[in-house]
Amino acid sequence: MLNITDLHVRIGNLKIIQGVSLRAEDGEIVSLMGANGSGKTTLMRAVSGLGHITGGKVEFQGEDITGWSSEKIVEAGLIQVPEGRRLFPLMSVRENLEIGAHNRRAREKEKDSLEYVYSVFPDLKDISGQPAGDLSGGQQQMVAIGRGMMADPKMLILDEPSIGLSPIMTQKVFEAVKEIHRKGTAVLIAEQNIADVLEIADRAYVMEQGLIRLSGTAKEMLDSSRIRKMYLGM
Amino acid sequence: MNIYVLQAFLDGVLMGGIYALAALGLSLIFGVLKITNFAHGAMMTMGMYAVYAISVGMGIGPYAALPLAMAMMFGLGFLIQRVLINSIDHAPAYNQLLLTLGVAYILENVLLMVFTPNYRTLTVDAFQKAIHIGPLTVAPARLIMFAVVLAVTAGFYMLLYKTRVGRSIRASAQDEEGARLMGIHVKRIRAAAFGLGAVCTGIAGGLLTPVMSIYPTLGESFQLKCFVIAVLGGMGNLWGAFLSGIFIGVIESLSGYFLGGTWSEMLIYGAFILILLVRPTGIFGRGNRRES
Repeated sequence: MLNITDLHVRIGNLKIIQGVSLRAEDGEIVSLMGANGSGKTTLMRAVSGLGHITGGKVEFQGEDITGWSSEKIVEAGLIQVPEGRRLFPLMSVRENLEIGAHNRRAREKEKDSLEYVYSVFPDLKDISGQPAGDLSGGQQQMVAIGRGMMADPKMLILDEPSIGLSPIMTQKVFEAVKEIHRKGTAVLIAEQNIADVLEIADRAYVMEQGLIRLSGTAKEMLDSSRIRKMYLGM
Repeated sequence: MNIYVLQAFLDGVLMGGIYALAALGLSLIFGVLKITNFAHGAMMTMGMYAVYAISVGMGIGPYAALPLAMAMMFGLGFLIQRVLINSIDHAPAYNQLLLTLGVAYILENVLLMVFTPNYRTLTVDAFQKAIHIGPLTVAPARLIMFAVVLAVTAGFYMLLYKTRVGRSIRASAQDEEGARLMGIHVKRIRAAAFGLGAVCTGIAGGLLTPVMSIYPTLGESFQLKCFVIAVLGGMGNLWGAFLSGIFIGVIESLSGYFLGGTWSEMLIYGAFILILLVRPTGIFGRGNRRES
């Protein structure tokens, strides 16, 4: 589904991503782990057309999408729920969700998608008229994920969806990710909440300083002494 | 109330409508592009001359010339954004802002070359002969001007809040990256926003052509007023810009009546400073909700 080969990404003069290869197959949940500043966000932004790629290749469903504009990538079905959520603060929850269905593929399914989002996040239905900027962090994250679901994703990229959320909210977010996955959408998820994400992921990558240091199945990761020591404190 | 005060108030409201419309364009451009368009006054003058030239050239009335002038202004604005501003969209905001200032001087000097610095007047007796409304007198052209301003403002409201393009414009203004990640063609939206801002100046300027004599640097006096109004209205706030425009128009007119014309500018900017000291986000500003 997604195949990243030897990707290099710069921000200004800094080489942030220095040759990353990563793949996600159809129907997989792949987790990208790593500390703050390891380059996860930069990598994901670059995949969605928001970065300065200086080398390597990004393929999506067999098509080379390196250097494509964000709009075109969205149209192809690769949707990102970005770090910081990036909602439209003055618009209602409902309108935020509707904009999710802006792309041509998603437009026809808008009504069904909205029902689907409300079934996954029933809370959103009750606050659908409220401006997104007035919501709590957890509610905003639900809107952000819901907006991503509205875009009819073939693959959903989630950048640290549980950051700053309460344990209950975090649980809700992971439940939603599982539900999205059950529907057949592939998921690439960046997380620092490693214990939780490894429970739902099929495979995982660990990033350090712009490079992939470790990769394997979720089970291998959980068993790895290095992961246990560095990230799980065991 | 003194009848002259009432007359000054009416004149202020009618002129304020023009300020409001032009400021609305400035506010829209700022909302989406996050830069102050210093070519706004010059674009307004372009609008005036567009109506003048079309009207004289084709022998049609100024109001019949307005739609064509609007289309021209949209094209001009769209191109200025797409070709000039957009090509330096990675530069710091103040460089983009200086670029619009450069555009202002170029537009002004083009008008000077083509039309000379002489005053031009479009005479259409039917619209300029004052009519009486009770004890007040007003030129029909000024009433038409205000009616068109109201209609256009309502039209802009519909466009921004009831159409897909409008929704994309608001989304891009509120979170550009969020908009891009949802597949909105932000580049196109930015150009369209600048084009629509230019249409506002075109209409505002065009409506003034039958009302006053025009000359190529006339827009300069509107530039700063638009800025003040847009700030008071809360940058990006449509109705805020509208009400602030009327407010400034009335202040200008009343202070001119009571204290004389030299005072009016001082009072406008004095009021501006006072209001900002009390309400830094403007009268109708929402403040910054992005932080949440």
